[in-house]
Amino acid sequence: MDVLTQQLLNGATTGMTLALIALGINLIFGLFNFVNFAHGAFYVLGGYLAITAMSSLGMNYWVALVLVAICCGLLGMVLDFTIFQRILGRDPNESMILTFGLALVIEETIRLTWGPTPRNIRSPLSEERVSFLGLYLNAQLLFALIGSFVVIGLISLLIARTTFGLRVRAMTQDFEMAQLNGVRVKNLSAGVWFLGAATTGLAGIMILPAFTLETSGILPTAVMAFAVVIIGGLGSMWGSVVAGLLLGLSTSLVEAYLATGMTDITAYSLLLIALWLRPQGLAGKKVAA
Amino acid sequence: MTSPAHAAESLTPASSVDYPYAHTSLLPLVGTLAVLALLPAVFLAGDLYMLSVLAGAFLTAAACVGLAIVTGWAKLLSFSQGAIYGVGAYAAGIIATRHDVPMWLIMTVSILAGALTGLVLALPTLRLQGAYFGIATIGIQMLIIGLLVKGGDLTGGPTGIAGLPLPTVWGKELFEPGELYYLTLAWLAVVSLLAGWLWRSRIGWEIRLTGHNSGLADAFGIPVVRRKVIAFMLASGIGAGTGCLHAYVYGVIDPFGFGIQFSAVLLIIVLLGGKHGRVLATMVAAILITLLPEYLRSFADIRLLVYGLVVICLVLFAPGGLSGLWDRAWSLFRGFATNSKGATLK
Repeated sequence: MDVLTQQLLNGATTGMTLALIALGINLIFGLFNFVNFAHGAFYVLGGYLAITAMSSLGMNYWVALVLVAICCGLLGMVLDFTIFQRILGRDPNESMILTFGLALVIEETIRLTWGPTPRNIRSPLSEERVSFLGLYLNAQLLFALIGSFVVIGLISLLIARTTFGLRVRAMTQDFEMAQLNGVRVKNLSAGVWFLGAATTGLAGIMILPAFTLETSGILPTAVMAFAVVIIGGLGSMWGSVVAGLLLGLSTSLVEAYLATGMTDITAYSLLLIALWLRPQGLAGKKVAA
Repeated sequence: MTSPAHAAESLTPASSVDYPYAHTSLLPLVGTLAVLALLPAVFLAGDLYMLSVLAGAFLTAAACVGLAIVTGWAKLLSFSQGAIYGVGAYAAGIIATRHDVPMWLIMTVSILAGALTGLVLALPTLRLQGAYFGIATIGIQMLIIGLLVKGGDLTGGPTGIAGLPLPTVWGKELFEPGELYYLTLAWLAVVSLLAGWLWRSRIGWEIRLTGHNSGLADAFGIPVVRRKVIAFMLASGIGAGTGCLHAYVYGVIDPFGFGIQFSAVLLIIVLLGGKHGRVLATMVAAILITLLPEYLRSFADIRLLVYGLVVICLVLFAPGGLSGLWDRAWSLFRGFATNSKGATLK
């Protein structure tokens, strides 16, 4: 029983975190048809920046949480101005190649800066356990689960209720028409990149204290998040949540009851099956897949 | 009747400069292969280290020429060539360490296994376009490596397979660097001449037209999806055959050597060669990229960093790659020689 709850919590938290990372990809891919394989960089970087902020600069975990998210967001904006704006509207193949190169560059930079050995982040919650209905749950995982849920809720409110959100939705529906109606692509793009990168950094610093941090996580994270976006349907945030939970729970249950070391096999089989059967996703409308 | 190449050229006026439809001579390719064949005799005679480095470069080049067919010609970005190379290597490793079978037979089995893998993977993925196809191939890459790691006794798990027999050709065991040099060069020659012949053939033209403009290809009555499947199978067959040779040449294989980073390097080489996937350019790019670490001290540490930067710069500043730069230089030269603007590639 204890194993089951632990695995369920693990799976649900991994899934929600993936959904949070997928949120940024969903926004950017939906807006610009731009595939960003370097998106996982913000997640990994979130963890490493947190290590520096807490152990070298002596910051409190909660302060680090906010600062790291902002730093990741700013980095997203910088990358947008310097690189992504230049190839906007070109062949999606080129964005894939370019961001693949960028993922390599960031991964190697992280490895050279922080060293190749896996690291652990200490947070005030990672050793704590919460007793709930007679079950003992890891507080960090619980925090990441609830935190991801809250952030996704807030962002979807932002998209649904504010002028900024209205512009994003207009742009997703019809890029040129929105431009004709006075939406400024550059400002909007900067805002979207900030949001996407900041939420992904936040996902990293929320969940990584429960696991170990490795430099090689960038590409797998991005691909898994893309899997979540594709399975959940492009443009549907709650579709991503369902897909994230599906992916997280099934990988952790397979890991617990069928065979260990099957995470990759399960996850990527699900991705391929989803692409084969429903390229438009669970909740998505028909797109040119 | 005019040749299909000319008909297509007249239908795509603006892009004829950008896209070389014209039949390419095989002479430069044959010449390069001849130079490579003479190299050990002329000035690499005693340099055993360089010979084995070049043998490795030829294997990479052959895998890249295969990948160029699907990524350069059919314009399908495939991130799974490394894993399929691994399938070929493992087919060789599994059979050769258990049974006493001649090398040519295992090679054939590997090529067929690769082509079959390509076919199986192409069926669900080729309906997908652009980004979705790229993501699907990453999924395939990760899945194959995951299966190789979890393969138990069959694949040897994370440690892989060791103790393959030496490559044997006509009853002679090859193990000296010079012999392996000629073995790999022979395979590269077979692969590149096949690809060069295909480039000039009707089917190669159809594959390239499919990648260039699938609507136009459709209008020509070309079965678009079938051509893409053929491109994918060709690339996979060549990749797996090269992987088989790799297993024989090195004698040991492990799953992580064929991981996503290896696939990335292969893809980067093809892009460096040029987006049209021309055979000679791809080959030259592969040999250059493999030799680069030998000439840059302490380059090994930051190899992937440099590759990443190269890719970013390529996409931003020189989308044509080496063959694009060559075309530009050549047309400048031609323009200079004939002293007339625009009378170059049109």
